[in-house]
Amino acid sequence: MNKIEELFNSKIEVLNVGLELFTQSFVDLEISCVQVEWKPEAGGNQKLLDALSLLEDM
Amino acid sequence: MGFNIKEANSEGLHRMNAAMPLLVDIKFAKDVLPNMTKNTIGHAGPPLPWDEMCGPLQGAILGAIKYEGLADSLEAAKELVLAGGINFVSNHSMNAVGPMTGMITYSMPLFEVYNETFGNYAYCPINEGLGKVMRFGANDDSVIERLKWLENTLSYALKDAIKLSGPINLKVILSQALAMGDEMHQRNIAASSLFARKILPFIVQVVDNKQELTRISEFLTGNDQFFLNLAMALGKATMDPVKDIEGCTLVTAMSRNGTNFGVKVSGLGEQWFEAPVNMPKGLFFPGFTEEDANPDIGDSAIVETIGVGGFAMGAAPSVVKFVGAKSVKEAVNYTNDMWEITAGKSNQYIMPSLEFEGAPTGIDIRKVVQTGILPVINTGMAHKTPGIGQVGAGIVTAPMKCFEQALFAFAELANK
Repeated sequence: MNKIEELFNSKIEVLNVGLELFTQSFVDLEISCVQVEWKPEAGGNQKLLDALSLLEDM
Repeated sequence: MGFNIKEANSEGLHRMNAAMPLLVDIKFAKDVLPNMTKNTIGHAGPPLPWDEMCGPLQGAILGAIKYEGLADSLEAAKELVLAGGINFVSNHSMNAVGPMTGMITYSMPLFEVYNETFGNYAYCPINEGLGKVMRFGANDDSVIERLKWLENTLSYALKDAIKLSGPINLKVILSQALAMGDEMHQRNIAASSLFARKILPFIVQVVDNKQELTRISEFLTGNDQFFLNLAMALGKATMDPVKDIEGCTLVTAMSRNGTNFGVKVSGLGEQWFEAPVNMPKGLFFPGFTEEDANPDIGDSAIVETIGVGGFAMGAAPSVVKFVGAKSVKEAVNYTNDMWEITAGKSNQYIMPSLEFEGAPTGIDIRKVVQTGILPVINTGMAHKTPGIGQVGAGIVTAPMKCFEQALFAFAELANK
């Protein structure tokens, strides 16, 4: 419990991976937040992922 | 089919870095381009039929027909086209490249660039200058007159000057210009100045007529984009030896015809992988808006293919405002992104403002698809109506579909 209290009473710095909407929420609360640009590999397209996987080990 | 992509890509990157492009001569298209005839017109981008061509490309073609004396009016030129009297060819298939509409015809003088390391040649027309020019689809008498002057006067002066000077190392000029803030696509002022400094001492020795000398000097020094065409020929000369490396997933050409964007890949031979071009986003000259712009066009994306242009935007802060990027930081981010999709870095095109790192070199189709990061191109924007000219400059991306199609083709090859 003490560790949790410690965390919530300390200066929080946030790394957000994904939806920028979440970063904006922290910015609005004046909490430091770094937005990490991330997309699923090949847009999540399974056929492309299969092709990439085939060529990866060659 | 068993191939070693890692080794093949390493070889591709090595060939790009080992290129030694030298300007060695001025030659006429009829003398050096394969299958060039009086009725052949080379154009930018992958092949396409007349009825799929955009306005500026059609306008340029009609002007080119007049330039070659095949018709004495634009109407007669169009009749000739519709009667099947003109053979359209993609410049890339003739060891050549041309900016924007990319017109190359029988009588045109071309820069001849020799890649000394691999013994191959590449060609590009001389830059016409700014304003109302054929590369933007203009085709009136002033355009034809200027092209005739290039053919009959400037070309011979340059040819004689180069003969006197000896081969001119374009790689060194590009490297120096990059360090001076050019990116060699939308900003060539340093490169053009360095080239003028190199060639003018020889021009003055080979041109006796003072009036001619004045016009030539003014032409060479008055066009900030003069070096673009040399950079393009350098790019083509650099990339052609990277073709046909078995198992190599590096891009050897990117080009647009105003309708489709085409990509070629080393290990996939001469096949174009095509998708509809994107519309550049950028800044417009006063009086023009996005409504006026033509979609992306030109062989000039060969500059990005070798790792400069949009890829080196981080080293060219002065181009930021011209192409409508938000900030220098955004320009640096573009270069950072391009490092994510390339096989390596250039050993000669170094960017001092980016901690002396080499330009992103060797676009890997796998990385493009995997990351979702598209090659970024700095480009001029033509008016969609032929004859008006450039309306702005901007940033455009290559379409993802080209790289996806190429990836599937590579996987199919691997499965054979």
